Amino acid sequence: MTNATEKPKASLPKRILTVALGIAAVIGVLFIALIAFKPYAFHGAVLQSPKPAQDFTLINHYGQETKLSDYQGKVVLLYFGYAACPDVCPATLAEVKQATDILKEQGRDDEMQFLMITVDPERDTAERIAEFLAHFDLSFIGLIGSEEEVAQIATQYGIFYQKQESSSAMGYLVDHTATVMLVDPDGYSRLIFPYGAQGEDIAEDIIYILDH
Amino acid sequence: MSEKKTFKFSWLHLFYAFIALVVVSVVSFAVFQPVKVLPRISLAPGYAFLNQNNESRTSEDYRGKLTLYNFTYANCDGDCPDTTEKMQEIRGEIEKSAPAGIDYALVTVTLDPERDTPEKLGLFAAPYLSTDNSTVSWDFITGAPLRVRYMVGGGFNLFYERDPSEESEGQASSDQESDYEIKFFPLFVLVDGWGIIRAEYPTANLTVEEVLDDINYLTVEINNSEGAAGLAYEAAHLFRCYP
Repeated sequence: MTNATEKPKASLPKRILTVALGIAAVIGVLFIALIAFKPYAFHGAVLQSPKPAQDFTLINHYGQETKLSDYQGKVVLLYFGYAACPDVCPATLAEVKQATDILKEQGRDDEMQFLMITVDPERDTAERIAEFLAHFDLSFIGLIGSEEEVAQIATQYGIFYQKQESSSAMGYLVDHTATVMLVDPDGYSRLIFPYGAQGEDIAEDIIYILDH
Repeated sequence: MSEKKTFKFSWLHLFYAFIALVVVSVVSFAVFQPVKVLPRISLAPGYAFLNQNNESRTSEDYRGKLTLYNFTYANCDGDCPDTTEKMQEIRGEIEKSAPAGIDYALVTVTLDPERDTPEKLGLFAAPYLSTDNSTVSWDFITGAPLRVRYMVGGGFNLFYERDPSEESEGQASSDQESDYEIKFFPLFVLVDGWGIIRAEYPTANLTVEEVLDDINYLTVEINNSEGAAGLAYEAAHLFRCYP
């Protein structure tokens, strides 16, 4: 005998429909969560080094002593190039300039710093580097060290360089690794941008790192 | 008479199911590692040295290749932990069993650049390369002593020094200068095509299987670096995080 106060049981098709809807909802939420929380795909190659990037002390093109650690709290883009570099350096610096402009538009350019260590310490005086960098952005900083200082730092950052005799009017050339290294605000090497990386992509990665 | 409990669906159940599913998925992914990746340990050092044929070899020459490094010196004998024979064995196995479509290279770095000229390294390398028809390149490299120290000590974190106990005593100073041994621990390092150290093996008894397994993980990752599969690999790296 049925109790008059008891709710009538749902019919079997209705229960199946409820369960199916529940499963569909779980899958739907999972799918949305996967999209929302999918790992950010960096444009540069990612590093996960447990050790902070090697600190160094060099002289900047204003003649002041500069350490990498002076820029803790900012993203640092670190590049090894030289003032007489005919093509690779200007092309790379143009992309970094574009990334800097994107950050400027967002009012965040003070959260990043571009540093170029010269791989031609023999010829690159402060004036020469200042003149070269001024073609791109006045915020860019050039760093100068002795042959041995630069060699040691370059080795640690995976950079090779060597002189190449040339018939060019500019004298010898310096072959060098053309990657740009990103050091995060905590001082860890996080990304390597290959030669040819686009300014927008560099800016996107910088902004992601600043925001996370 | 006990009342029979009936399950009543509510949105709270759905929420709990979702949370449980997420937790189980994340834990399973971390524990069972359906996608296995090698850590991106640190940057391999940059360098510009000479090989056993007196040809220039720079770190850029190995960009785009999976490169295995070992460290030794031509006078290494007796108790010295020479790993060059192991490199030869690994080379043969890479040739036979490693996935196709990827370039591989071996590099042996001298820890004794004062004595190991390219010519001397040529003699040292000859027995290993004499029956050579391998497609896996193998360079024995040397450079200015200080630059080798930057590369090996600073870049690969391998400590090495002249063994004072093995230096000759009571001989002419020129002999002392040329008769010594180098103290070091055996080490192999696997570097990817980006110039990133992906595995370090601080042992003389490295098994070929271990290296080949790691090479396989890397090649699978390289071949799945785009699209949804690439995201799965990036997620797998999150579980191997360090700092």
